[in-house]
Amino acid sequence: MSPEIFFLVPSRGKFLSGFANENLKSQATQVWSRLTNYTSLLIVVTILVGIGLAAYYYKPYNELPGRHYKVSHWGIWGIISVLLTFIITLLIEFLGIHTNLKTGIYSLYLMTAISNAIYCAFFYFITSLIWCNFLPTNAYRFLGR
Amino acid sequence: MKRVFVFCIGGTGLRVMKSITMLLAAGMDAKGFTIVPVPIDPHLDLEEKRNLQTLLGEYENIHNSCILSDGQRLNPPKGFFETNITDLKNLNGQQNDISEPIAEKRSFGQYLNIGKLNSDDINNFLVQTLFSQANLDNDLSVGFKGSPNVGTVVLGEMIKGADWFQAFCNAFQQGDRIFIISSIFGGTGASGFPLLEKKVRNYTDNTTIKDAMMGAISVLPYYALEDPGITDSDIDSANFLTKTKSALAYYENSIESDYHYYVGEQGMKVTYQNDEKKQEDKAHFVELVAASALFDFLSKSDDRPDTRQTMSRSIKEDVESLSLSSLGDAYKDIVKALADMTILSRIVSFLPEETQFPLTKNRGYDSDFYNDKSFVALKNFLERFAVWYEELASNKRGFAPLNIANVKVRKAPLSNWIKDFSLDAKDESYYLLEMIRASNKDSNPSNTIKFRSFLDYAYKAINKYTGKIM
Repeated sequence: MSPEIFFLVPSRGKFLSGFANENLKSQATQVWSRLTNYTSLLIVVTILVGIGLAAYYYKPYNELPGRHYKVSHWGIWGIISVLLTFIITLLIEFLGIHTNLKTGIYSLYLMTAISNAIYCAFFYFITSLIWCNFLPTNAYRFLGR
Repeated sequence: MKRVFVFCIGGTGLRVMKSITMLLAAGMDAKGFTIVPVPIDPHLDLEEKRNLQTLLGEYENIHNSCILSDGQRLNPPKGFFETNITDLKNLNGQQNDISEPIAEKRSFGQYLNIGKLNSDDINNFLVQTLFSQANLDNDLSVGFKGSPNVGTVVLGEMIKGADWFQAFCNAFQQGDRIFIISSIFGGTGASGFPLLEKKVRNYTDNTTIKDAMMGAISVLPYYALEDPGITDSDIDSANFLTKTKSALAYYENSIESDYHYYVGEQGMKVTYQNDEKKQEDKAHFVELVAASALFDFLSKSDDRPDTRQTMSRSIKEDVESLSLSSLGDAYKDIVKALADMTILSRIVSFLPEETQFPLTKNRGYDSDFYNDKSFVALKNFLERFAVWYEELASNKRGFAPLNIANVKVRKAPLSNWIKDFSLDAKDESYYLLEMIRASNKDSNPSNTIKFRSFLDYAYKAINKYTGKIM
């Protein structure tokens, strides 16, 4: 799966055009290739975190006292899911992709992480929408009919 | 459906019935009996009597809000206002109010018609022997002023042929019970109780009544009155103990109740204002204990005991202000009931302002619901309950087993709501969560009545935490 699936990430050609000499371009190609290998994992992470934290909010978290049914709590868990996805994406990129390139790749990593975080927010929201309308919960169904 | 006819004789009878009503509202178990209060007090214009009737009316309205749906009568939800309270008028399907059984606007002397006696009539001497001039001048519209010798004469005639007694006889069925509440040191109660008992046990027209299971609570002196010289009153509480001893001597061999309860206060008596007309006595712990006797009576089996059972109850420690530890384990049910009701009161006061509460959407607990007459009636009743509890707590001896947190302090910890007992519910959110859970689990079609479901969920939520006290 290509990293271009992340909507903020530039195309392969545009990314590589930012490197002047062949040596740098070759290293950048390797970075792109490794990122391609990790793209599926990153998508899985975003789906798991988005759906997982939404499910956690609507079920176990709302089995605890503390007025967790309020929308503010839902919002906080949404933010947590977004931040978590962002951090995990960056970690995978920095720890998983070994390169000697010092410049030109950080914006790629950042755009990938931000895009992934936004996708996570999407999955969190969709899961919440489904839960509010069809599944049992103690939370306030503000997205429900 | 089995009923218990509760005859509330005199001022003490009325006050004990008030405590019974509060305990029933709080969910105390009446074992499926319908309660039929029959107030008996010749004291006209007694505010206490009017207040009791208002309270009973409000209770009935709230109870009916839970069970009446499209002309159908549903089973009440367990807990708050579960027990049905009705009156003789409803039982007999009558329009006219028969709850005002007796009233006399004459003096005792006029009642006896002694003015018609010739001066040489020997009956004059009999009257002078039995009654003082003060007795004869007694205005009967304020009751018998602590003179059972007056009450015995007047009440006997009043009960004979009274509409309310006939209504009682018409309504009484197999399986119904009778409970009589009276004081032993006043005028109306001390005279009325044995008269009424005799009337029932000698009622040969209907053996169902004659052989009915009967219980009674006699309240011994538990308060004193100011020196009658200050208010020019005819009631002297210094005579209460003497009258009590006389009455007890009479009761020893004459009482015909199956279960006879006694309660009183020996040491710590409060002194009330000696006003015959008003009798503004605050709620007292002894009245609450007397009320508990009814619930004990209702828990007995249907078989009449071979011999009369005489019972009383005590407290564990002789302290000025009672809590769970000084009351003893036997009072846990009463403490729980009061805790339940006061927690309900807190929920009712803040819930209308609670935003994003799931049941607003799921069950329709919106502004229309909170402004509806049922909910408003509940709020009014709870305000009366709060006043009643405050009187109990501040009286002497005080009954104050609760730490009621100020409702304005929303984040107040609630785990110490019951003194000497730690509740697992630390704050309001615990109860709200349980209400939501109860709603989610509820598949009962009867709970489409919003008010009914509200009380049902609130009780389940509160009982989850306070039930551990039992």
